[in-house]
Amino acid sequence: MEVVFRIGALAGEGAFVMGRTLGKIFARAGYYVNGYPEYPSLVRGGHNAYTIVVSDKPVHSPRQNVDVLLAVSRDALLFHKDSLKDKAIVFYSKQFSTDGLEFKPGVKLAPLPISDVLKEASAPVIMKNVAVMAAALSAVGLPLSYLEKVLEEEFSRKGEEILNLNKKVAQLMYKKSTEKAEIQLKPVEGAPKRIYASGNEITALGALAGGLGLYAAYPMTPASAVLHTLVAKMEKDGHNVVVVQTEDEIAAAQMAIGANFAGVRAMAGTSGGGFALMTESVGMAALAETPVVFYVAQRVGPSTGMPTWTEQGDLFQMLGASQGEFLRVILAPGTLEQNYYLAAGALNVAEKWQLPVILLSDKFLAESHFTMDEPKEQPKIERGKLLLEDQPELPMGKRFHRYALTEDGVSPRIVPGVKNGMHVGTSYEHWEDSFTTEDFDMRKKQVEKRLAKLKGLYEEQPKPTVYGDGDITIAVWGSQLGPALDAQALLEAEGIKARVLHFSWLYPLNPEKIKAVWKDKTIFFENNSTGLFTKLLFMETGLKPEGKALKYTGRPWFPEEIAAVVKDALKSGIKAEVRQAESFDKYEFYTPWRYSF
Amino acid sequence: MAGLADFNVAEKPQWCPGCGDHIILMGLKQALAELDKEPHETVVVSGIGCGSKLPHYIRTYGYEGIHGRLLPLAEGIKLANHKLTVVAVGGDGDGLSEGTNHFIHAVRRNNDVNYFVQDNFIYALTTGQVSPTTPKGRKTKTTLNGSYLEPLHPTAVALAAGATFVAATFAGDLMHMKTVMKKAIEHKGFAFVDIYQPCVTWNKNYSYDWYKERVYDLQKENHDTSDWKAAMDKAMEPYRTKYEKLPIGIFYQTDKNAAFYENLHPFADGPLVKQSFKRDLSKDFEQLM
Ligand code: SF4
Repeated sequence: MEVVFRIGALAGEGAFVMGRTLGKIFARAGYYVNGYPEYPSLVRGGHNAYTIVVSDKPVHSPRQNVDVLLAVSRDALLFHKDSLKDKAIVFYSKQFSTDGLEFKPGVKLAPLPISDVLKEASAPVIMKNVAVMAAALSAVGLPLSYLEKVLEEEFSRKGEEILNLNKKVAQLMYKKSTEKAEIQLKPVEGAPKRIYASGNEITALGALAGGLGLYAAYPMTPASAVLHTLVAKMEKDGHNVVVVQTEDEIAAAQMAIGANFAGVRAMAGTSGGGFALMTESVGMAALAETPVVFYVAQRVGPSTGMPTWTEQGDLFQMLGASQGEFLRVILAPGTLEQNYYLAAGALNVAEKWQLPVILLSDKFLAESHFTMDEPKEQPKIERGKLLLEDQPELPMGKRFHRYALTEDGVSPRIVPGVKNGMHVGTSYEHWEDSFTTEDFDMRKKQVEKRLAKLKGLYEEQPKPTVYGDGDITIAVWGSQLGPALDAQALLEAEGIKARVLHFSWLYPLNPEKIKAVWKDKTIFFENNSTGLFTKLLFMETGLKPEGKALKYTGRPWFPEEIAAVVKDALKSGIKAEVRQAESFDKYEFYTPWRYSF
Repeated sequence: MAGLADFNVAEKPQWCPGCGDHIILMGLKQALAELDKEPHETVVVSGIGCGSKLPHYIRTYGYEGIHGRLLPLAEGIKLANHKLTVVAVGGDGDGLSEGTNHFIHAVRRNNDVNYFVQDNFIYALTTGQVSPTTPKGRKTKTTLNGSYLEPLHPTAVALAAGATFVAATFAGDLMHMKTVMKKAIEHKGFAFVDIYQPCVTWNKNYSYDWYKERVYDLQKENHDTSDWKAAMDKAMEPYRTKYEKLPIGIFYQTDKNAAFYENLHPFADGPLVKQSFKRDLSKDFEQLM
């Protein structure tokens, strides 16, 4: 049982606030929810949309076709009319003309008397969104009290009068809107309380749970919400985390490395463009063996590309960032839970192995909302060979052997403030005691020492996760897990069994662990145009999927699209390469004025 | 308690004989020892350049990072443990060309970091190209007919950015340099010191004698270090006088601005590195339900 809503509005009209609010309401009513925002890189003048999937079964991604369209602006009628299900309801202000728009025959047009309601309540126009939300609740039969509760939480600070006005508008519209959806969403008895949050928000909380002490960043979509969330944790919620908005991404990277050097877990966050600036610092951390975590939320590149849309195009940038050869770890979460545990886990891996770790997300996962149960387990904090106690006296003039040659490649690490640990964290090749060297033998040994960490990382790496079973495998990495799982469910409903294989540990890759779960008849779905991970996988393991399916329009894979590719493969064989065109609502969000109707 | 010898390392510095960096290193060691700083509670951070090799020649904690980025690196260390003494040393090419953005914003943040610029008017390690502080008309490898650009005025830039401690000193005057360094280290907030550092290999024109004829001590004049305008006037004097007069000493100092760590509450509970980061997030999750 699933109901899909879509809110369409002009940029600045509040589609995301409404979407998030409705999502939270359905989550509170006991449902699984996914909320997916789409918007152009404009503050005003574009079109915004937020799709909400509400289900009694877990949902991990948006849908193309909707049951209920909430057209806050008139252009929303045009933008989304082609993705209405046969019996969809379209709510819009009765003041909007539908002239020139053709709807499918079964679609129910439900003009809302928004202006009448506002007039009757003597409420300002700004409250029209409350009226629309009330209509949405009314359509699926969810008690109005859910909306009233949110209004109380939101507006009680602003005084009784504003709160009551909002409630009045909601009550009037709830009654006046009479169009009902086929599926009614009664509150689910006995459902647990669930979190409704974005990948960015949960990444921030995961990092906090993992002992983050400092976060440094320069604002950049779609990673900025981690910065916002952590600032709120510091300034509003009283957490002892220090958040610095730096002058640029280079400073953010350096500050995070500095803090780690001095013993505080720190992270720098950005998107691909900002990470390009951090590049030189990645190599510095690698040679100096200072742990550091970079959170990178990809967007559509190269360069400015399409800054508010999604793509998995930066994998090789992560892999190749900085000159020279060195180990780094790349992790890519696929769900909120993975955001939480991998954010904490990345901090562990960085400290245990004393190297740079990249936590790679993208706009889709970072900015979409999902429901999640409150994590039961507190993430473990593992700091590896970190010395925090005073050390025995050093001979005069001598330094601590920070870069001691060891079997596992990891040398004891010590931080300023601890007695007799004096040494230099250094970007230059060095002796064991950190003094600069260009000695050929020591160079060889230090290179080998750093590379020796690979063995431990191979052990640290979990096997890729397998979901379900079937003859054919849908393989994905990072954020595309959600659409893959939902495609699996769609196929299942048609009696087709497909297996999902997901990679969240992207690099380095232990061939044995992958071969253990690899099967013939695999199609690798990537959200990019050249199959980056498929190449990496071949490079590292020699494994090659029979087919790769690539999508690079700016949107994620939709489950409907994945399911169609799988069905086609089952019917007429796996195609070596599928290039997916965008398959719904093709109007351009950036320029609604292009369309006159 | 640590003495001067505790800051010595076994290795000999490999700067050219006569390089101002030898004296800067000595000045820094003396300043730290005289202020009773402990080697393990001191961090010397650098970028890349001749002078940036300095952290290897002083037995404290240190970090030799990458070109131009020493300030945010030093600030990160300071934020992790604001009880440490953090000194950033780097050249004019490092900090005033590649790292200018960080310089200005480090000044604004007013983190309690000391920034000592080994200013030799030239790119030395890369063998003699023009630097942002090269005087106009000076011939270098990349200005064969003489530099045609106006030099950047480091103390004036620091003042314009709102620095709370701005000074200059001369590597040829160890006593003066040490005194200024001590004042800088004692200052709460970001302290900037522009050090005239003779480079005897690539900038022979600007010898110790050349500087000695031109520098004069502001503290021996009637200079008011609380007067920002007077400080700015002095900061521009070298350029006004075509390098005939080079004021050294403290140009400006104020304790009116909060140091960075005084702005944010987590520091009130002591150095971050000493804090426990076991957190109860149940309220944070509650907010999202
Ligand atoms: S080249 Fe100049 S700056 Fe470098 S060590 Fe020699 S004298 Fe010093």
